[in-house]
Amino acid sequence: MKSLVCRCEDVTDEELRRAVTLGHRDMESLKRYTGLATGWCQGKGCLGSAARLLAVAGGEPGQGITPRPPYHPVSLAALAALDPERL
Amino acid sequence: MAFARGNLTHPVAFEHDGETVLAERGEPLAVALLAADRLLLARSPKLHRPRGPSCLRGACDGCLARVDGVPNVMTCLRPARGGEQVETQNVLGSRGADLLRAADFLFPHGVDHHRLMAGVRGLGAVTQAFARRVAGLGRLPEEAAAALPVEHLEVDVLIVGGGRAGLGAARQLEGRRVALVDDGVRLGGSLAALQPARAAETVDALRRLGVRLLEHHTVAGLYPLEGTSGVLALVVGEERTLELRARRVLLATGAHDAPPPFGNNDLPGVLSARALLGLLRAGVRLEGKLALVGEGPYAEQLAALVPEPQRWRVALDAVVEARGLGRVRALVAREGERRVRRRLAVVAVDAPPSPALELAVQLGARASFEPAHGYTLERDARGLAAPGVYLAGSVSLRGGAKLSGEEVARALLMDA
Repeated sequence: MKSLVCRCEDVTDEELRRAVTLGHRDMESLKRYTGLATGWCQGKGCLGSAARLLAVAGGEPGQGITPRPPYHPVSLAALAALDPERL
Repeated sequence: MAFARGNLTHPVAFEHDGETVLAERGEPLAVALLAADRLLLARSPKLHRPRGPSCLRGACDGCLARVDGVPNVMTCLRPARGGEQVETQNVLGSRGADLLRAADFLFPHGVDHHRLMAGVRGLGAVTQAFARRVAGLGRLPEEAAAALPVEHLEVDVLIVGGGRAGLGAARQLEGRRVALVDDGVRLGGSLAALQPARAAETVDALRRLGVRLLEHHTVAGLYPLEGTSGVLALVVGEERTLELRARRVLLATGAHDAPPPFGNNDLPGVLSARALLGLLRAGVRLEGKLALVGEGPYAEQLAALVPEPQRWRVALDAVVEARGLGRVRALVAREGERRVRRRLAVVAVDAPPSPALELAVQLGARASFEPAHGYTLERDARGLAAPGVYLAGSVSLRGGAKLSGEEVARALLMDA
């Protein structure tokens, strides 16, 4: 029976705890090892839960991860006509 | 059965995996699908676990589908116009019986891609080829889409988010050039679920004030303009892209609901209390039994709308697991020393949400850990989180307090 922390990348609480015991004791490292927060929603659903799990397991949640654009995934068609000179 | 619905006012029809589904014109496709008791809409990318909408606000993976040949459409943010072809993606077999679900049973402890056949000559390559076939989301469209036209807009204040805080702020900014951007199919956000009449009345008032309302548009990115406290916003709609320059930005992006911490928390039919309240406000009828988990404003209203014995109230930390194959059928919870299992059709969870901090951090705001809400944003008492960047509503949650849209808009005017 699985309990999902990150739905988008199928990362369970068990996998996160295992990653912490392997030494991934901050959010960036936990993210890189498990794929947490790298899926469709980019961490909207999982970041808080993962940070709580990390804190309970003795890790350091810190400032979390660095959210970057786009907020929602966008089609390349939405960006294709932008003029880089003007931006 | 979990949901049903009576007669529609402005019905339109679309196809879901070849079957006709009726929708109220303009409502999200995902709402129409749930109203037709179609809870399972998608599959997770690695384990192919069944997924359904859980947030209905564009912050989960549960409603992704191929719509008119375009993969990965968030059907909770796509208004029904009639005639759409909605197809389940990412399955081998059918929506209800995906053979790739075997992955879920083969890997009871999850897939550790660092160790899975890595370093075994030959076998590693085979595993990778298989993984590429199994994993992922959707197939590319048959044809490339044409570039969207770009428009330019300059305003004094950009408000992101059309819920209670964003709408309230916009009303205070009369006389300024204001643009309000919201990604939902209709303005109102959670206010539309909690106080539908007030949401509608506020939106009408803003239209009369001449506020530029960009509904169903996403602020995809925010970039500080060098040497000023202004920002450049990349705003994406279905048919155009806007380059929007603003002297100030007021973020009212709300907060995200997290998957609740219990077994099988991702089963279709397990959704946020906010999402369920929105569905009931949209005229969807709850047919089966409901487990109402946790406490908060949405749970309060749901408790009033769904009386006992149709609902079972459960504390969040008492829940052990949800059960069911393609959708939730039962919930197991601790009652004192005992474990109780009850059959039900829907589980709605109200838990402390996490501020939607993504755009604020892009503009230099700092987040720090606060156990109840995950990460919250550092800000001053007026809502200022970075030069020219103000927070209002749930995104301003800090130490248990949040600021109203009205008070932050007044602070912004004083500073300007």
